[in-house]
Amino acid sequence: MTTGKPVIELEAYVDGECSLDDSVRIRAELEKDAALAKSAGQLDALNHVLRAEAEAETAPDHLRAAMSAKYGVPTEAQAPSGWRGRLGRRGFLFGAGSALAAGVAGVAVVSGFQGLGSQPETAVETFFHDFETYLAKDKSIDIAETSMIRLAEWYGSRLPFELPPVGSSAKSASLIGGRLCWLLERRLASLSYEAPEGSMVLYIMNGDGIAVPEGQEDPSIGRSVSWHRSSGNTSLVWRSGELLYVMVSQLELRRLMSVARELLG
Amino acid sequence: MGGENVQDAFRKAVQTELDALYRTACRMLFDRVEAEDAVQETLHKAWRNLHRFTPGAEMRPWLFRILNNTCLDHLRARARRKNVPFDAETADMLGLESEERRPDEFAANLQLGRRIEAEMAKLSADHRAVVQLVIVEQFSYEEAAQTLDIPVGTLRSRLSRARASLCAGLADYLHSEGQPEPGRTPARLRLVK
Repeated sequence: MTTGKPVIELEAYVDGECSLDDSVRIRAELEKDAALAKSAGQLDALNHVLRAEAEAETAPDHLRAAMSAKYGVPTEAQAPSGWRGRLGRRGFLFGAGSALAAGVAGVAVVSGFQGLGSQPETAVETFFHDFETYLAKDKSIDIAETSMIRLAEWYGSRLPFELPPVGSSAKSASLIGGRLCWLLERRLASLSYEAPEGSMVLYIMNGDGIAVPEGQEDPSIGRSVSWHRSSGNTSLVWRSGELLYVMVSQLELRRLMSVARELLG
Repeated sequence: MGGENVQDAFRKAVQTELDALYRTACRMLFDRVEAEDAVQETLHKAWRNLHRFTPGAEMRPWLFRILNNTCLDHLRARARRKNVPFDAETADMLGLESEERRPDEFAANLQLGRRIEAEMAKLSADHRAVVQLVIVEQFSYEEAAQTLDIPVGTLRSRLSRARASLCAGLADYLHSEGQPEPGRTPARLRLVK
């Protein structure tokens, strides 16, 4: 795998642009072929060097101030720009698991998007849309991984927040890997699971500035969860601390809730 | 998404994407002052054309598309002023000596930031744009292809060629096991006007 199409395949693997099947195949080849692994390592190192170098380059303060003033960007709400580390690496100090374990039990009954404001609707639709794209693209993922520990290591500094504890399997649904997504103008983790009856993706992100539909409050934990349906898929949405969780799946609601409780419990 | 929400999305993008737009312009133009101008022009064009923005679409690719076109305009104008191809012009802006005349020892002593600039300057503007969007800003292939208005196959081909050139030029910084060589901490990007 050193010339022509195979090189492009290897590059796609390093860039997380392979289908699941190709990722598994290339990963197996890498384990057997030291020269190939070295090539992949060089490509990955090149990515790392270029990103690290660029990270230090930020817009001058006077440019930021001028643009903020010109376009009416509220300075008091001015978020640190860029996605790498500038949102702050906030530790996840309390268990998302227990939050969901209790929170899902108090799920709000929302029929479609009725009664929701346009912005929350857009936010939830964004994840349905990404999930449908994910399915349409043959469940292409950035990294094929069944260990949540290793997957969390992979996400590492790629996320502007610390990935909270999440299980790798529950009720016959198993982790198959992850993607690094850019949705709603932020970097987020997208964990892929497969169950006998369909696929499931858990999106985890910093929830600042994202309006989502209100669900039913669970007094025991002070959080609420809402569920939604679109094109035969189901989603659960909830917040825990500063993080927003969106779980989208082909599974039916009760099954999805059951899996969610166990994964986050 | 109504007009007001599009404006809000634009303001949010100014907050979140300004650094990325600026560093992309720097890598395209190799001139900080001109990069600032390009970013300002980009935001001005985007603001003026917000009514053309598809509600609900992602603002980020749209802004980068405008930025890329703006940078190419700058490079073409720069080349016209000097009557040289604009990629040769960027190398000239960096004060780079040609590969033949540059002693290896001198090249090895250049710090990483300068080396990256030098290697990037050897690429065409089209190839630099692909590297910047896919590798640095981590656009998906599809998203980058749409942003640059090229087929995904063309994008992958350009990316592959650019990578081959960069890997060759930066080989001594790319540790064989995929990590930068120890002790070679990436330096801040330095631009030479």
